[in-house]
Amino acid sequence: MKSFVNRFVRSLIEREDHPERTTDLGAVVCWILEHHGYEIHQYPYKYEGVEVRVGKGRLQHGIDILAVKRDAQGVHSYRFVLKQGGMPSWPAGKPGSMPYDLFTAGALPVSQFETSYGIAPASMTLVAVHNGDRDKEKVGVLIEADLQRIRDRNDCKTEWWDAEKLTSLIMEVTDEDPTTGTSTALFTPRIQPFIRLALDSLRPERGRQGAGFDYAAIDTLLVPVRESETAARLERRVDELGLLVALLEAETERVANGNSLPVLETIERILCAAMGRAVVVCPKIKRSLRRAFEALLKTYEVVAERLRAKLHAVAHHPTGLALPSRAEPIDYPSRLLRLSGYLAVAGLRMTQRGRPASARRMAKTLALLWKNNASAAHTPLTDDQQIELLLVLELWTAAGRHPLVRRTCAKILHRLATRRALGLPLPAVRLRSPLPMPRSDIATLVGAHRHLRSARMTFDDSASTLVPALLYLNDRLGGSFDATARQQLLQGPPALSLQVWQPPTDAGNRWYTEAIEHDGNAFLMMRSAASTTPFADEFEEAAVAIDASMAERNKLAAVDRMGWKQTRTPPSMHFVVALARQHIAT
Amino acid sequence: MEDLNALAASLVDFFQSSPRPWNDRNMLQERVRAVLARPDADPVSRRPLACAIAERVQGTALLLVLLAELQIFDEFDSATMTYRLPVDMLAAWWRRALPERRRQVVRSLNGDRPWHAVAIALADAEAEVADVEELCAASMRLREDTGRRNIAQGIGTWTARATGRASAMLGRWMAREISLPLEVVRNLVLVAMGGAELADAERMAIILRLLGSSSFDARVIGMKLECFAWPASTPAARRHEALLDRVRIAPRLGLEALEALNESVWSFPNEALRSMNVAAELLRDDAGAAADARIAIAVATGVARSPSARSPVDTAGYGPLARRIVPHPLGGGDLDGALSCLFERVPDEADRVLRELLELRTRELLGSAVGFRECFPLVAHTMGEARQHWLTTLAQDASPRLRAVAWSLLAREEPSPTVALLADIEDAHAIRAAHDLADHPSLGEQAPFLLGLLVASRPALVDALVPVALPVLLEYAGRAEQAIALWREPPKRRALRDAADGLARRLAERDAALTSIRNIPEVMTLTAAREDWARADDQLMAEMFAQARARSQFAALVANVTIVRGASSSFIGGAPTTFSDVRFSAESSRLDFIDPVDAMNRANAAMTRLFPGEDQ
Repeated sequence: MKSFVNRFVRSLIEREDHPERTTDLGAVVCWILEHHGYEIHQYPYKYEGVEVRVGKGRLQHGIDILAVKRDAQGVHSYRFVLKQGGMPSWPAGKPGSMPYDLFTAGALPVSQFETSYGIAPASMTLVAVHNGDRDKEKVGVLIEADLQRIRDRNDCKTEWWDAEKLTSLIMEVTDEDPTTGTSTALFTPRIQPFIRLALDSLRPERGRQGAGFDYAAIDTLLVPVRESETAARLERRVDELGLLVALLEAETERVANGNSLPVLETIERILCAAMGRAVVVCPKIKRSLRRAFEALLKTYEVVAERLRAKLHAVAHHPTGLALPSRAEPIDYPSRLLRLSGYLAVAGLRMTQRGRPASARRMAKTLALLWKNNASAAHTPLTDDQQIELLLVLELWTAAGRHPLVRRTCAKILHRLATRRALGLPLPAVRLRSPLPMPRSDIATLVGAHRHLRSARMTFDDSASTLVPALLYLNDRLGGSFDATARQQLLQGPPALSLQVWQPPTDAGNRWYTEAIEHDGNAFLMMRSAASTTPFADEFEEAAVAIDASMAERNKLAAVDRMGWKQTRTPPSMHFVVALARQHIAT
Repeated sequence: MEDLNALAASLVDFFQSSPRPWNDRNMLQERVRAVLARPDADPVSRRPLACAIAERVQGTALLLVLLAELQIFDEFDSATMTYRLPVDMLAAWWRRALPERRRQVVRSLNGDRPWHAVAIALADAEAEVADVEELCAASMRLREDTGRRNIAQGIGTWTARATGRASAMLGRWMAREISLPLEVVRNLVLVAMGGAELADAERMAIILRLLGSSSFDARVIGMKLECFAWPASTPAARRHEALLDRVRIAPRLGLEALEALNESVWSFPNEALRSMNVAAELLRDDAGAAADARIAIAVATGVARSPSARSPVDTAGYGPLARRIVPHPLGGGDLDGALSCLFERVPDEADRVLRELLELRTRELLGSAVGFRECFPLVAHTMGEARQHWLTTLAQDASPRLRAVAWSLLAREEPSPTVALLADIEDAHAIRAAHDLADHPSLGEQAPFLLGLLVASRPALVDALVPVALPVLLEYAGRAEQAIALWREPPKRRALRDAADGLARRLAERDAALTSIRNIPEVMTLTAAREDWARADDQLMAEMFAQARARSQFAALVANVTIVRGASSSFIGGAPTTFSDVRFSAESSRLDFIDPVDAMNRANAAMTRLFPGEDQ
């Protein structure tokens, strides 16, 4: 959490035009002071009714905040001078600079300043506040000399609060009420209710172990991200939401038995929203924004690793992820594929970050889970669950588990063929499986699996884009799904329509925030059925590469995977071709 | 009475002068109510009033409305389970109504109930021939068998009241001057024969006309007359010989002969059963296997009727007939009745027939959840307590299909006698039984239940039985707990106790695994479909109950009242009936939810073992 607070503190600017909507340095310092027992007499903004504005219209003498603290010796006055950013230089004579304002603020006599607020302090301390670092080598001596001069000249004390100090002060606030949980006061009034909603929805009364987490509240919190006008603002929003992730992590540990799904899902949503906005405001992601992304991705890895450890403990049990519930024909495969999706994305990120051992561990746990829960792993319920399937296959490919990929493709195809022979539903088209899954889609799935008449109108499994991808991999990798089994799977009535969806070329800029459904072209795989053209050749013809995605261009490919999962938009099938080529190459 | 007649006349006058049509029920009802509200219209006087009105009105609908309004029609007689009909009134009306009016009413009659009254009225009254012919014509338009039968009976009675009526009508029918329902023809012939009105040549002519008809029903009536239309003193053998001669000449009339013999069983059981065998043989020679099923059905019907015959039946007649009942897929009450009859008289034959039948119907029986008592209620009644023993013996049969059916039927019997019977079967059969149960395609939770019983009943075979039973028991945790409790029951035997401990350990291991999953919130919270699944279950259950209710013959007889609140209900002054809960529960295999594909594959494999080479 400390790293997120640190990032958050450093991202603040000195003054915001609308502090009720966006937190600024002054607001955070006031929050710190209030939580450390200071009484604030002069705020960095002034209240006009319910409005808050930064411009006070009065001479400040460099003092942004006046606060007092009481102890046995009496009242002590603190004059705060706020500046944004680091202190790479010390321009003492430059109006508006930190040294200039410190000298001005220190020179103002108590009788002229504190007295006007009705304060008679026993001591006065001048505090220099800035949310960065000072260059101690370059200007450290100068600063200390000037501070000594101020202390001598004005009979006062001085303190230096830089970003690290501010972070420490925030982290010291540990007196949270255990019944209300984590405070949301660090956030601006506009988003506080939604932060509260999200945090409170983790409580047991909303659902055991975090089952009632309010994903809609998270989506609301993403609105400022989607509306960020500049790269800097986008970065600040991401940092702010990073703090939310830290709070969620703490809160899930406190009240939801450490449920990692809210955190993982929130990170995915933040990253997708931010990447979607970055396409508009900064197509080439700058270093600082990249760091913000990477900080979230790192947390994702850590949380996913915790999830992996938990799942690994039960992965040895046959059908270890099944629960004693009648709804397991739907819940069991959905659960396993969803959890696999998180682990696969984290594993891929680990691979990209040069942590092959961790990635292999992820791949191993997934292999074990899929082996012992084969009935769930090999039963995708919706066509869009190819996303999770492909992510797992990608991770296994990256981890060098090629035979496993080949076997898995064939097993899934065999199971689908058996389901068809038994009259059981195949993966549904037009239904989507995000988290949480739409109620109507669940009802349709249940209806189809229970053979209810009501589901006939809405359930459709007569076509597939998942099957061609698996068939292609099976054919190219030499899987065991042979012609007889293929006939059983594909022949009707009605025959299964195999399709390859070719996304629009700009899909890589859109799939972070938009479900691309009615765009692109669906190739109907008819030629190989009618002629001697091998199916894999026809598939490769249809699976044309699209433009590099935003995340790919910026070397953050994991965010692409998150985008596919979040918007339930599968990748271009060129992804599958590339996967097969990697196998063949190795 | 005069006043009431005057009232009735005024009513009718009112309607005659009214511009509204006569069939305005509501208006008539209003007027009748107005009349009934008068002080002199006491309940006793309602009936004559109704008669008076009935004489004047036209059309059944109005008549029925009036009768209902006067509360003398729709009175249900619980003793006879029928509606008490205003026979006296109808008869009175019939006698007094103008002929033309009578025919008008007859023409407009519809529905079942009035016919009974008309038939009785007809028998009572001095109806004219024209009335009777009109009635015959009307009854031919009827769709209800009961109505037609009633009319035929009434006409039969009417013709019997005066000599010459039957022969006169038959004469006109033969001359094709009138049309008569087949039942009426039959009754007329029988009446004419009883009164010696019909010469042999005329009788033969009628029979030949019927047998030459293109209608199966007409040919059946012809055959029946061949058997029954004889002077009363004619011996049974002579009657049946005549009938069989007819089949010998035209073997294609064999089925019609069998139908006729089925009726003859009541009057001349021994001769009928013997003749049935001959007729079946003749028919079989001619028609080949295609007619076998119909022969079997007809024979079964005859056999089923034989216990109700008027004279004692010789058991020897059943043996050859029993062989004709199989091997055809039969259904209905007659089969049950026939088998029940055979079990009483020729048990060995019946045993064979039933085995063949069960083997033939294996697929159907395995697919349904019915017990022996539901399939063969009369046979079950005849067998009595020997039923479970018979089923246990069947479960040791050499045929895998019969064994599968036997277990399926045993699963729905009382468990206690089954336990005692299982203890008596041979060791080799017990081990085979365990495999049969473990691989049974449709027993569901009954398989582990019976396996539990089997193991409990054979402690000496625990080592051989438990490995077979264990995988099935582990699929049904509830049944496994039951088995553990049963195996631990005193007297505690070491082998059984060890088996119970082993099973309990396996369950505990699985529970421990489940407990560790319960501590993983990510797993526990991904259960989105539970609510919808439960809703779908509720919907399916409700539909199943609704279908069962729709099929039930009793549901229509029982008033269904929803009680809004309370813990008991009563009529005012009556004793309250306290409510009690009725609950059903069934355990499903764990595999059904976790891996439906594997569960279905296993069931299909089991079916393939029973029906090799057939598409499942």
